[in-house]
Amino acid sequence: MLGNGLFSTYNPPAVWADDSYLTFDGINDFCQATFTSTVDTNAIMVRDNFTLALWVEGNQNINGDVVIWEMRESPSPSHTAYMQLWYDYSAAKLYFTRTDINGANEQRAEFDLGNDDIQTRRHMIAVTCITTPGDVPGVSQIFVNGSAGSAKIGGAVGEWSGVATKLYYGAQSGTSLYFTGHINNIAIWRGVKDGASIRDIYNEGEPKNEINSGKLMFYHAVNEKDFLVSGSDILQNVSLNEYDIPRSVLLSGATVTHSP
Amino acid sequence: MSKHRKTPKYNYVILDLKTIEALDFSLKRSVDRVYLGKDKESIRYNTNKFFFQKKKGIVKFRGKAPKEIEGYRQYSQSEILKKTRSNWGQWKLN
Repeated sequence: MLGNGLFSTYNPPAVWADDSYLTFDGINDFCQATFTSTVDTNAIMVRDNFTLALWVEGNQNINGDVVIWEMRESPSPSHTAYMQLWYDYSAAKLYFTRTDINGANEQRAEFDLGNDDIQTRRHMIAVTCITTPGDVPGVSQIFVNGSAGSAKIGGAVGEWSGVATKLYYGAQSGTSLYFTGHINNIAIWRGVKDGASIRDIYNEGEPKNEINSGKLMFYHAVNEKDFLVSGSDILQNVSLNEYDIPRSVLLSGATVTHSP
Repeated sequence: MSKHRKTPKYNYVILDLKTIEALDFSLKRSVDRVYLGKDKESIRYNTNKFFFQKKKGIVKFRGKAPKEIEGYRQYSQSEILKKTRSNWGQWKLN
């Protein structure tokens, strides 16, 4: 399992020995990290293609649509852009939606879970996302346990502004569509991984293979022992943050379960 | 990989605003008898309430109920979720 210092010195005492995970209760729990992006230097995820992977297990209490992961530009009259991995409860489908800067011109990828929905077992969900205006048809896609879903619906979407952006797990904007269940090993790579690479990560059984994958720019394993207390906030350090990606994630009600 | 994760057992109480404002959310959260919200702002309130309803919030805690909320009815996660998922009730999000 990975820990702090992923790209420098591995620091075993700073991580729990066993796999750990976040629990969300579906009432109002969520996690949040703030990206202080600007167009020129740090707007990695809104200007470059990326791949997201995370491990998700919902519980039987899910009975409506929920948001698993989201990135949203700070609200302003002209900046309502978001990208969102969400679960359609009635259709048992996963969707990844990305809008342009005005929250319109939606691009969507989907994965039909059928009977194997996220409430029955743990899944590794990966998303490849095209953010560049040049676009690459058919690449924005959801993978579940290494299997690819339908490629994107909708055309290219415009660039975002690169203003401050917030990353959430477990809710939409931290205010609605609350997820209930467990999430861990949230990883984001620069660029789009192909299906074989995503299957490799899944086949490891645990996400440890992420260390072998280049261009990893954010990794919240959830086994990090380092917590920060800032005022009334509890933040967990993330194993890796590259460039100016946040160094910690705020736990708002979400709790960490770990083994010694 | 497919093994189920254990969901920690939490309890919930519904309190009026005045009671919530008196709670100490700064108690250490690694032991029992602790509140799991970070402060009173992070509580889920009944924002969709009717004019005659008091402002109330859902407070989550682990372990035994802290002294100041002993005696309040405790709800399990599934019970409290049922309340919040009504399409028309006071817990519906605006």
